[in-house]
Amino acid sequence: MSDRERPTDPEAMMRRLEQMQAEAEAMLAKFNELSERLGADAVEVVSEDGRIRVKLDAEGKVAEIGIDEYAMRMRQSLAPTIMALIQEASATHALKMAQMAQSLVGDKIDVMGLVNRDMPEGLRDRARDNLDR
Amino acid sequence: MPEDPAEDMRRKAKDIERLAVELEGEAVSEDGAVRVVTGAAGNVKELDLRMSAYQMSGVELGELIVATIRAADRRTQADLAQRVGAIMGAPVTPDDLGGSGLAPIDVEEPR
Repeated sequence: MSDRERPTDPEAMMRRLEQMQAEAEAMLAKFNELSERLGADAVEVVSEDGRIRVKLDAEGKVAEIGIDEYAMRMRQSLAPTIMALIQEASATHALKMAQMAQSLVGDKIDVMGLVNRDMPEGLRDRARDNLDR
Repeated sequence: MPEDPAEDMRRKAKDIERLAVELEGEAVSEDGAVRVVTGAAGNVKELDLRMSAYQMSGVELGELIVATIRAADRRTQADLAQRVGAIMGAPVTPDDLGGSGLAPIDVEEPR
């Protein structure tokens, strides 16, 4: 193995480490900027009648579920509606994350293509509508 | 004769892949009003509400569902870490698998 592939000189290794750190920091800065611009920590979806809402945290986990008192009377449909909203919110979050990843990796990997392929069409359309709002 | 290490690693990867798809964990709120099943990816697979759930206010029920989802997720992630550790033959914590899910919260533990 050549010296170029595996530097043994401590100074060269240090320089390489510093370069890697600088690259990682630049990537992180870009990620934070994108995260702010796309509002990654604010995915919130609301049912069609506006009576139930689901909000996710920045990691995409369910953080808040709001149910108004009228919706509490819709016993049979309550759980399925909440489930559908969680699914829609998660899909929206996934799309948002994919958009961010796509802008980070550029055209090296088709991240959006992967997500679009794996997400059911109806769900994807609703998630896109949420992003456009 | 020891097994081919590459083949061994492929088998382990396959076992973990299957876990990621099949593993689920359940939590039930203390009063039994809310039952949740989550998957390895933190996805909510099932949400059941019992009659007593409808006696609560909307705010209370919303909070209880979130707490129960978190409890189920914590359990699933701990189980996942334990099983992945067993497959790899080394201890694994939920943090090693990309975070422990949600931060612990001060609600009653699931049964």
